[in-house]
Amino acid sequence: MTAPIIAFRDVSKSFKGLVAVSEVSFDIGPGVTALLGPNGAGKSTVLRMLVGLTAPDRGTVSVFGHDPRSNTAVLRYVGLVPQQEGVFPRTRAIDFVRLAAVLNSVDDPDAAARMALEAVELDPDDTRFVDQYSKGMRQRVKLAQAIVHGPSVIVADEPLNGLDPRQRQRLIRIFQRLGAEGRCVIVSSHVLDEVERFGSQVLVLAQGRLAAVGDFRAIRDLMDDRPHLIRLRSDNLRALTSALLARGIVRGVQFTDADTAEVAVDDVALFRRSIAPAARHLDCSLTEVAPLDDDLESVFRYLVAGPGGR
Amino acid sequence: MSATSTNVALYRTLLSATTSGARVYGFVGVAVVQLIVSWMVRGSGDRVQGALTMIDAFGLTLTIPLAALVFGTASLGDPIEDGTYVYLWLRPLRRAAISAAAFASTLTLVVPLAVLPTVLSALVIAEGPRLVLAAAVASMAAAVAYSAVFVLIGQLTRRSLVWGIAYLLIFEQFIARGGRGVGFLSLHSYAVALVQSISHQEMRLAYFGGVTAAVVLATVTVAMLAISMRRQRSMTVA
Repeated sequence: MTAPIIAFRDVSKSFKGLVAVSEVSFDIGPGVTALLGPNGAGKSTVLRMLVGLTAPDRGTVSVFGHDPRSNTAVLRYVGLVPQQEGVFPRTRAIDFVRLAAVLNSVDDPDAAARMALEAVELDPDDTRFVDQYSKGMRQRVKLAQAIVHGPSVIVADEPLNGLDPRQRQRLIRIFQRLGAEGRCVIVSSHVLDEVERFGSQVLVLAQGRLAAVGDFRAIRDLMDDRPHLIRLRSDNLRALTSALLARGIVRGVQFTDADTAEVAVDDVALFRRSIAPAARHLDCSLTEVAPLDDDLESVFRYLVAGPGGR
Repeated sequence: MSATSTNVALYRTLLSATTSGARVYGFVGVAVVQLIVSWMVRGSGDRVQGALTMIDAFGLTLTIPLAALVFGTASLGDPIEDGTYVYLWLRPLRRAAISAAAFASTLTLVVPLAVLPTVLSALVIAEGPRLVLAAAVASMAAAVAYSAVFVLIGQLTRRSLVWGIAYLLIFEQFIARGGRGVGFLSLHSYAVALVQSISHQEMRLAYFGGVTAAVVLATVTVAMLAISMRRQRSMTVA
């Protein structure tokens, strides 16, 4: 068994009494790993501890077996794409990336900077300052400075935020390519669909805790398998819900109005297949079928609380 | 790549980030006024007293501490504030070099914009070289010590400008003028003591001897830089 590139062991971190990350443990190896979680879940804190920007209160973080905070030599193998927008004022992309190459002691910083910019599909000879670039281009400049020294670990904090679909696709492709080269690429996101497109390993973080770990498909199945709450509106609601209850398609009904009810469903696929035929069979009209907890927050809440925790 | 290249890159980056047009033009404007006033003082009355007043009131009290405050706090404070600090800090290098680069970049601006005009002012007014020498030594020593203090304050607090102005205006201008008992905490009093010691002219607020002043200013500089360098290792970077 090979040693993981990144290892978190029982890591906790609080800020002024508020727990940001609680007893998180995981290993990460080569390839793309997505860190998924809603805003405020602790993703940025995990990434910042991972590269040594902040120290954990408890537990250990190691990159290639070393503490990235105390052993700055290990940073030679790490590149960070931070979440913040700012880059040095009045700086061209080539100069910004070249600075990163120099500070990483790259032998030929000029050539390395050109190569890194070309790798992210930017023109090294562009004379504009980076703060005149579009957001997508700035993100790619930030990625170029993170890869200019050829690191084995690339950490990107919400790199797809605010990008249009074409730019997102382009960045996702670059991350996939870096992962396919055998590098350890960690990308955080709060958007489920983005993570799906990485086609990667996923760490789900919610309320500072690790809620799920595994292949994206397993996480997606887990999310689909959870109980769902759905609002139904019909002109013959009692008959319809009775039929669904009798057939075990729904496991609970709560009437909120004469023609409206919220039903608890375990197998949402079976429910989708059965609801229209059941209504047709009873000759009643179905005016609303609306999921009430399909947002990410409730998915993460479910993953944290577990099947018995609703 | 050598460590020298890395240090030069750090220095140039911090210098460039600190040097905004408004800041530089502001101090150039003050320097021009300083020299015009010096020319006017030269033609009126006691030139020695006039030179001492210009060195103290314009240089050691106003332009040198203010330039050190503006550029010193900005050298690390600005990158920390705007989030670009991570691009310097998260590198495989000795982090003490960042503090040294910030100190050097601050002095690069404070010396021509505040120290040099003060020395030129003394040169314009004074009749002999002693006062010019006093102005040069005291201005340089003050610039070095103030720069070290304000680089550290810029690193430690996000309201560095407010703290710095409070120190200069409230403590140095009011409290520290109350006598030797509190004056020992004022960098200004040591700088003035250096002027007195070298020029052999009596200066107000010069509570200490020249050697004491030089040792204290040097010690403060080294201590502030050492704390800043040490703090680099333990700081949390946003």
